[in-house]
Amino acid sequence: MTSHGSAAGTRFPFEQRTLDNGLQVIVHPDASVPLVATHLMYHVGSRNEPPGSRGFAHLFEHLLFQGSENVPEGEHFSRIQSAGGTLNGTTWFDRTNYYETLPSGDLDLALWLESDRMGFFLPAITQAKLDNQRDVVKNERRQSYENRPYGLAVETMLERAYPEGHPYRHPTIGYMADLDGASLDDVRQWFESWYGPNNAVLVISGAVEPDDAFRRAERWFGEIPARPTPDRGEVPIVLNGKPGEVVVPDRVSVPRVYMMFHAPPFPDPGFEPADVLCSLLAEGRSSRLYRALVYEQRVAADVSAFVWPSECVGMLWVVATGRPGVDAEQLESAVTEVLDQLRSSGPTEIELQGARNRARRQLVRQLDSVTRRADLLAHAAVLRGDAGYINQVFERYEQMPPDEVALSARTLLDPARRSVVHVVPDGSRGGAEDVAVAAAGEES
Amino acid sequence: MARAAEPKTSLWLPPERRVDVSAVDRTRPPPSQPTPPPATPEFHETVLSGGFRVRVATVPKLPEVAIRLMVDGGAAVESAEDAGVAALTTKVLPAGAAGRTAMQMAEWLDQLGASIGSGVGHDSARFSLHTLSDTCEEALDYLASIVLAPSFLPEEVARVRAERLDEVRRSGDEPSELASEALSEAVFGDHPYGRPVRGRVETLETLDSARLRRFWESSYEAGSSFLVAAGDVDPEAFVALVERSFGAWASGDGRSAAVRQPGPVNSAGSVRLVDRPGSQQSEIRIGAVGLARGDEDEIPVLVMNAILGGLFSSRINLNLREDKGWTYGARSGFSMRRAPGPFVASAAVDTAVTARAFEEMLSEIRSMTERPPSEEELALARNALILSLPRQFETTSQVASKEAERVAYDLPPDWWTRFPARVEKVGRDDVVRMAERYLDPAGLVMVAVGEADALRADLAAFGTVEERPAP
Repeated sequence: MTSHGSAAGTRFPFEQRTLDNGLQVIVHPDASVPLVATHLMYHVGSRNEPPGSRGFAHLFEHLLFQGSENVPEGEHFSRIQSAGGTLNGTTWFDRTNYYETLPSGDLDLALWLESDRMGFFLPAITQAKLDNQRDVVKNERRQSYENRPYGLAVETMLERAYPEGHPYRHPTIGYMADLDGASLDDVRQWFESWYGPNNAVLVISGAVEPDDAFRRAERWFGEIPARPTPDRGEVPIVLNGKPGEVVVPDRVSVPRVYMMFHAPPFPDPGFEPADVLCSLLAEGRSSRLYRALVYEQRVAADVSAFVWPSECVGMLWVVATGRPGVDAEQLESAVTEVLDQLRSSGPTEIELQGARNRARRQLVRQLDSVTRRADLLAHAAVLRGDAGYINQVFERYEQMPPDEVALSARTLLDPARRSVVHVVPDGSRGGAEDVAVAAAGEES
Repeated sequence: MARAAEPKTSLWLPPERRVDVSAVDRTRPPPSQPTPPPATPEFHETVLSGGFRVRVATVPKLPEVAIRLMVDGGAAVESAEDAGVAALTTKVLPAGAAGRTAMQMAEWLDQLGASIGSGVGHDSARFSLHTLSDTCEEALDYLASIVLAPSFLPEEVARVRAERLDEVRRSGDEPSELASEALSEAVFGDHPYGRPVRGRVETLETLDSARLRRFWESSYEAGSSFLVAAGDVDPEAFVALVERSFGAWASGDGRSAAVRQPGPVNSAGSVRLVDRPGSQQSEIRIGAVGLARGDEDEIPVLVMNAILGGLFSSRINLNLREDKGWTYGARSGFSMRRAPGPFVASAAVDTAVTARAFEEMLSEIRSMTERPPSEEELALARNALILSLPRQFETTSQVASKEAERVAYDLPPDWWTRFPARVEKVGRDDVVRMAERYLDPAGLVMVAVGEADALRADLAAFGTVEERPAP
């Protein structure tokens, strides 16, 4: 790693090799801290779920923490934590990842645990484990979605923005009825189809010597046979949203407007300009939406805009939370006005410079950790087919021509690309009107 | 359908270099290799003329600087009628300063690309600044402007106050927030720790520009504040920059004195039930008065809590999640402050099993005295606390935060170097003693937020149920 005072000079060295069984191994050495992060990413996610199995990829991820042939139930967590490490797994549309960060002398522990569940998982799975983790996941759905204000907005949006049968049409958490239907047979089949070494990337990042790390990866993973190459299926490109809006009544005190625009996915050259566009729309108090809606018009309590780094079809979100007394329609037209103006006149040079400065600072902060670097290397390798993205990303932002962002604004923020969800108070949070009056009174 | 795998040959690993895989013993965890000790960044302290302490460490990894400015102006020093003033002050400071309007300040920061966050706890106010090294000087100027020269323009105060009021009201939408707030109130009553840091509607509405300025004048002073920086900086050059932007900051009269007294437990043996009809789960909490940061019991209590509920593999989570499947996660923790803060055990559980979840949680709390920890449990807890240290000091932001926290709580400079040996010494008897001292069943209070009609009758088994509607 070198630092020249400018973020663009930042380089993260890495080497990659592919084992005979197809497992791609990437090693990024950094001896500045005595830590090692391992990140195993399988190229499978909720978009690969067959009809009626929505949520299964994520349920399966939970099961993979319940032990394997040589790792007794419960020991996956306790062994890592007892070594001072941390661990987790996440599931998304396109990938499922498992990662741990440990003192560097415990690399073998992570490789043992990961290789045992990649190679020897099925003998350990039982109906009791499936039932238990199904209950846990259903409680996760209740806690993080159903019982959380605005928690159902995203799944409502996906159902609206994608046509019936589209692989991105449902959320990774899935639906209760589908979770209920999951069987041990589904578990076996999912494992056999998607969890082969040739459908995964292993990143080892931290205080390791590359040759030694490759040797250890080979020792632990080398004997696991490749599986038939999975067919990931087609993901149809969707460019048009649906006019009008869906209204979701919720137990909330103020409305929130969600807009989702079909946008370039992570591997597309249009991804970074879309990201910069989001930054100049809603990051910082001088950003376009914040200034207009929160500061000047005072119709919104908060605004945000972001792109999701998905693999096949991308999503650009604009979200605005209303102030008391402001209705969703009013909020939506205020957002639309700002977007239309940006589309027609384009960003200013000074706005762009600020957005690029914020982006490079954030990248530096994000990549100040072997865990996050492993994460970016794995995402880039799996979703873009190029781990080297980690060393191009700074230039992508710093040298972005203004035209690219202007084009991005004109194209992506086209109302035809948009779908809209309004989450509105269902009336159970009483007194919203009184609150509006009181708030107006004390501002004068 | 699936196709057969194409045979792959490796350009990198010719057959003769391949390791004999039979050498791998999968039946037991592999032994640890030696891990080098972490490099501990060295902080250099300089005290400026007003008594303002500046502590800097060079962490030369990436071209960034993480800065923490700590001010002795937390919520615990507020009077009850000023509740929320500390938090509101931090939000108003950037809204106009040093002759710039609120929007000009925002443009300045956004153009730099730096980020600033402010957080107020009971004990102090904290400003976190993150910047690339090449914009460090201007970022410090920005920070000095908002802390030393805020304008407190009445119209900006009214605007920020309205935003905070919106936030307070919206927080009532979140069942987990309702539960945490109800628990603090149940444990601490009228003590400052019983109030939410952000204040309540009644007091926030009365806070005006003059009262904010008064709070700022009395709490924001050089002598009780300090700045910590870590990153790609030369300590001497950095101190010169701070001197340039903060050199004029004067010491105050030392008026602000945080609470040091523990609060009473108001309602031990009672259950507060917050009715939130239509809830899909119940948010449950069990709480008590814990201990202060730096207390001699701190380390044994950390070990005890790691066994009870501080880790994934702790008793509470293994029971409620991994055995019963009633929750996505259950945990416990001690929030240690200048005065004894709360112990809280928490989970979001299926409505139908709420009372049984309380029963299991209580039984795990009792188990800490009735079923002393096994050697495995003790080893897990001690290892998790000691061996995780390098992870907690990895990034420049972590290094700055940890140092700011240490100084804010007057912990000795060798706190973290002595930490492992102190944890090692904690034995089974210490754990039981800590459980007896801090988890006395007679001192526990309970809170549930959920569908009262489904909970009321069952919860009566635990004590008097005190019910109120969600806001």
